[in-house]
Amino acid sequence: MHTLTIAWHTLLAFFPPDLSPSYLRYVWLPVAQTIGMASAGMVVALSLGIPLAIYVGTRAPGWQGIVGLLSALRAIPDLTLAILAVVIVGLGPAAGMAALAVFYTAMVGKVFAELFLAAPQAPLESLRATGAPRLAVALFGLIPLTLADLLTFGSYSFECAMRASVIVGAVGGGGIGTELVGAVNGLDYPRATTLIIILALLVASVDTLGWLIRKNPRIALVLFPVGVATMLLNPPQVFVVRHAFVTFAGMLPPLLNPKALAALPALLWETLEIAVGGTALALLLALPLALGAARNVVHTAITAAVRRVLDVARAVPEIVWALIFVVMAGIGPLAGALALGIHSAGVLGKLFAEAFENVDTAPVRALEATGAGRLPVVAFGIFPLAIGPIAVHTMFRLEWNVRAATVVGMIGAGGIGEALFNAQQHMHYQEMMAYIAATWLLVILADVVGERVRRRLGWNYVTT
Amino acid sequence: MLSVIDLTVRYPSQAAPALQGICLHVAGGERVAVVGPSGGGKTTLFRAVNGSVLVQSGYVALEGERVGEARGAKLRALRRRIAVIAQMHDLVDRLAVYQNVMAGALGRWSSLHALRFLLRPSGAELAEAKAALERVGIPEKLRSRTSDLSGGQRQRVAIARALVQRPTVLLADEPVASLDPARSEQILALLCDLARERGLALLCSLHQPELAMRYFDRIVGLRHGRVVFDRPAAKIEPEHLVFAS
Amino acid sequence: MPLPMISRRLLVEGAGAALVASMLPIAARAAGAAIRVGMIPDAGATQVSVDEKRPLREYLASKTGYDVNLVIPTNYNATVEALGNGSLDFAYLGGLTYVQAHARYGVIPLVQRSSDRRFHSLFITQSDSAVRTLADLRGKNFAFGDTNSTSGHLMPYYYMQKSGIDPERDVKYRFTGNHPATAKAVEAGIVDAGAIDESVFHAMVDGKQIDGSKVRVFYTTPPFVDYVWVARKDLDAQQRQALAQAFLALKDPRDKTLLDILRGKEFVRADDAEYDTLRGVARKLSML
Repeated sequence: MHTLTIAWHTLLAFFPPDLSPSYLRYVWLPVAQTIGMASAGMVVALSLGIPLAIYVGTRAPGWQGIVGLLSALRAIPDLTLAILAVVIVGLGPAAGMAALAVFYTAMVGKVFAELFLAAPQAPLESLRATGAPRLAVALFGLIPLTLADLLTFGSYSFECAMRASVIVGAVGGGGIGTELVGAVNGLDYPRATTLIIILALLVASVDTLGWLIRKNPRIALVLFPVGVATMLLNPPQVFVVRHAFVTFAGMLPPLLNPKALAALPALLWETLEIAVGGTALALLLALPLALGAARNVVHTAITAAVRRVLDVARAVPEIVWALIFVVMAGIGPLAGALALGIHSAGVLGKLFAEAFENVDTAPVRALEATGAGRLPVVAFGIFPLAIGPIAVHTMFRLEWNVRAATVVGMIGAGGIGEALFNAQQHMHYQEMMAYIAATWLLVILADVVGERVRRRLGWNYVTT
Repeated sequence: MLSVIDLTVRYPSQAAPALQGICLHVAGGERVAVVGPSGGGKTTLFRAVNGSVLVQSGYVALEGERVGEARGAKLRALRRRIAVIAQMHDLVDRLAVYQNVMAGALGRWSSLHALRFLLRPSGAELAEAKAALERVGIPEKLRSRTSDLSGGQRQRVAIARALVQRPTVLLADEPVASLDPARSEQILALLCDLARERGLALLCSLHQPELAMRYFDRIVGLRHGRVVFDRPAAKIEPEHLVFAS
Repeated sequence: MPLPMISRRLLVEGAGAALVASMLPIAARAAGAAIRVGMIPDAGATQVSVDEKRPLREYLASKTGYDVNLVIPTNYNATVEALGNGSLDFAYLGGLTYVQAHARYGVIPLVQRSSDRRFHSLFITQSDSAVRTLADLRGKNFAFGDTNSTSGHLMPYYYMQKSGIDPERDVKYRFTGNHPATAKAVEAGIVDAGAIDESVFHAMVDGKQIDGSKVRVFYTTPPFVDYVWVARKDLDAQQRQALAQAFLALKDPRDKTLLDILRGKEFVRADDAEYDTLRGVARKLSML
């Protein structure tokens, strides 16, 4: 009872948000920095990720190797990359951009490659049959065939980049993240609420932008000037190659003392518990929410409202939810699982809703023609048709949450993240690298298991 | 022009071979229909001719060059001379009609040329696309979105793409499978006219024996991966066709 | 047919980007003209807290003749690394952070507040709590601040050990990340007790950020040496002197605004030898 009272009082402390003009004037610059960082990260990610994905998608020699490389790179959490980037590029948005660029190049490259590999084979086969070179097959076949999915995922990852810029900001990458973590740490909850509202608005705008881009892809070009301008305005503070090398060399080889080594399995297990618990909670919340957000299921007046709820859940990164839940529910894995659950519910809710909206209309219309009511149409038409994408998104989310569980651990939600963060704070870099390696292996393992399951569900690309 | 010599193809997942000891010759301008039940080996035969399936023994030769041995650029050069028209699922919906038509030229274009064409097609290229569409009877669809076309129109676009490829062999795999009878006859007439007019070796698989007898010079029956008959259309007896229906 | 347009514009954009990218080195040089001063986030790192320190920034700029960029990295480690890779020229560090940065990157101590030579940590609990001495902490929930904080972790930890309480076995402890969070956690009863920087605690009570009637100090540590302003190793000696002089010249009533921001009365020269005791403690607790 006492804990609940504290939780309630903590929640109240977040209201009302500080909306005074003087404060809004302060946050203008960090907000601009965040938009710029996310755009710049995406510009680099698209410029590098698409060529890599095309290489894989056309099954050019050694494509499996590139898939492996991208998976390996994607397995390093963004926060970890940001910590390394701060050491190498120096403090400020340049470090944030560098971390985002690497992380999203791997993510865009990998997912676009998988979409290309899963593209319908008949048109590609007929293009190859004309004797067309690979790049021409990509230009005339792969890209137009998968464009709808590319744009959906592209705008989704732009959203993710916007949130990730908050996370990288938390370790010195600049932008709204520095403000938000600073405000929560400084117990300035009303201002934290302001920043969370701004973040939710940003993500909602990106959502709208994504919708516009899917209707008219050339709108995506606005990313380029914004991203490039941010890169120019925030050059690396320093780029001391020697220092970067010496620091990095000092982190090798990864090393754990016997006591830490003995504690490692328990830490990994706790991290997994956070990931699985969070994903299960997210699935429970996301399915009903997604039905409420699908424009082909319920009236648009309802979807608009449900989508705003999803936006807020999604806009607030796991680490910020975790900051709030650690204050409200106390330190430990429960706060981590709650944080992952709420955030993932926002993500999955949106993706599920899109899966519902993207179902083949012919069978659904055929059902409706029988005079079936709303509920049977959903139960026998829309839901079964969308079950494949739902399974895939959930698996991907579980993989993602394994990584996220290591990140929320860094602010006291337990698991291996806490150990990693303390080692980093004490500059025990060899120990830190050992935890990073363990995290990395855990994420790779999740990736491999996820792929097996997806393959068994018949939702994997065809290998010829 | 096109020779298939003692061809055997076996898929790893299946016990029985998909094709066994097939021999077939098609001359330029000759129109050959392949009939038989589904699973009889028609599609595999077409894939083997196109060089996109691994051959266990025997070979396919195009004007004396063996298709199975070619790799990389050489295979691409050979494929360029074989145009394929599949059932209507092989067009890229999101592209404009003229872009799908000119995809037939990708085999002789460099990738840079392909990119340049997407950015800004030249007048000559548009004229070529238009000429091909005129030949198949739908010049007015030049700039339409491919997804807006009907089934018959899509098949005409696929044929126009084959024309742009300037092939010596035309492979049509069930080109009328999902069309109504009137449209089917129009498409087959068009294919046969083109073969005669341009001296192409036309190999076409069909479900309907009566259509095959009406339009083609020669008919080949394929069942369980073997050729069960191969004779001029005029000499086909009803008992030959029992298995096909 | 959306593709053709995209690709054409893409080429134009790409060419433009390449053009501006070639100007990047110039922009980088322009950014290098200011001296960059970092402060550890002992009370939150936000745009607001940077702006609250604007008089300090303007004062340092006028005294040294350089533009001054004031930066508050989000954690202690980031500040030390920034001194190592050269993205900060000067920084305000805690005692433990200083000995770490000195060992790693040879940073040079410049000045400190006179109070930093005799600094204390406070152990606080709720007013109505039964905790009266360090020994009463046995079995309780306890909060440290940041793991790299001298007054929020290292010294309280050390004095708990000295009085016979093993923090690893006898209490359930956790890190709140910073001093204000520790004060709040104790005030709200989330933990039974916590260790906090004395200057932050008094400032929070005076500023009514926590209710002074709800929280009680039950133990004060013996004095130890803490915060210090440092320069990175290879910084120009003249710049180093200029900054040190700017601090040493601060006089109490005249510069009250600035001294309040710095939470001090006067500045004195600092030297590395003062930190030998602290270094020993840090080593003993394997935090160095």
